[in-house]
Amino acid sequence: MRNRLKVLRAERNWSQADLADRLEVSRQSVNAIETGKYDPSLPLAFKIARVFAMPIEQIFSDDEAAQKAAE
Amino acid sequence: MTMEFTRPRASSIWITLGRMIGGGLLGAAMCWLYFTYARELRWSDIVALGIALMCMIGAVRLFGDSFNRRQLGKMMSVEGEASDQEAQQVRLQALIMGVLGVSLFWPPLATLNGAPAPAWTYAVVVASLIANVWFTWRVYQRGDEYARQRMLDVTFRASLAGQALLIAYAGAERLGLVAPATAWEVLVAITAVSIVAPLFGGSAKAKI
Repeated sequence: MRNRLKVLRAERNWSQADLADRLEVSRQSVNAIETGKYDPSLPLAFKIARVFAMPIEQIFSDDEAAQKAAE
Repeated sequence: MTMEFTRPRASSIWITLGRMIGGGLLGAAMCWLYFTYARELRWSDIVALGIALMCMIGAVRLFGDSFNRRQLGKMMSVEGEASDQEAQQVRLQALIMGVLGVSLFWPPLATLNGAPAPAWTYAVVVASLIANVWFTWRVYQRGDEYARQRMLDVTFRASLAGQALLIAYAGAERLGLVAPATAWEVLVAITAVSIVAPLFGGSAKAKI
């Protein structure tokens, strides 16, 4: 799973702590999601989408689908 | 453990090496004292003392690191310095490690002059057990989904390895190939496995 969390966060000038507060998770969780070490649960993914006011598929993308699209 | 730490940089390797040598010397001194004065010695006591020492040194180090916010922030892979809440979490984890250490070194220490130990010494075992369960439960309850997932991953690996070890040993024992294990030996073996198992691979990310 790929995500644009870091880019979206940077666009809004939010620190990891700002985003973590909005999502009610730890900064370690935000870092783990941004670096691709952890894929969030569906409820958390929807919460992320709500925080950024964007559809979920504009934040997260499937590796396999991205590979197929590139081919 | 739920905290995720990064590998130390080359500049800190000498500090780490110094700590390892210091810990080794401390361990050697502790083992010498124990072997010199203990009347009865079992393999599980040696392993228990080794694990207890690892836990105590780890707990002291983690507790000390929790006061260096910048260093802690780097260790936890977060931007900037660690917050008060993050430092408190790390101290709680250090406390759990320390309590685990006490619960492992106390029984061999209490029976230094032979078994049975005085009845009051069992209170220390019960107190450390209650503290361990209570603090571990608090860490799990307070953790978010990532922290819980990491705890579950570690628990799964430790459970699988522990179960495999027990089945192998119990089978061999039933066939008369090895000596029967006591509850203490089983506890020490499972604790050792639960500490070593998380060190090997894996992540909170599932393959889809």
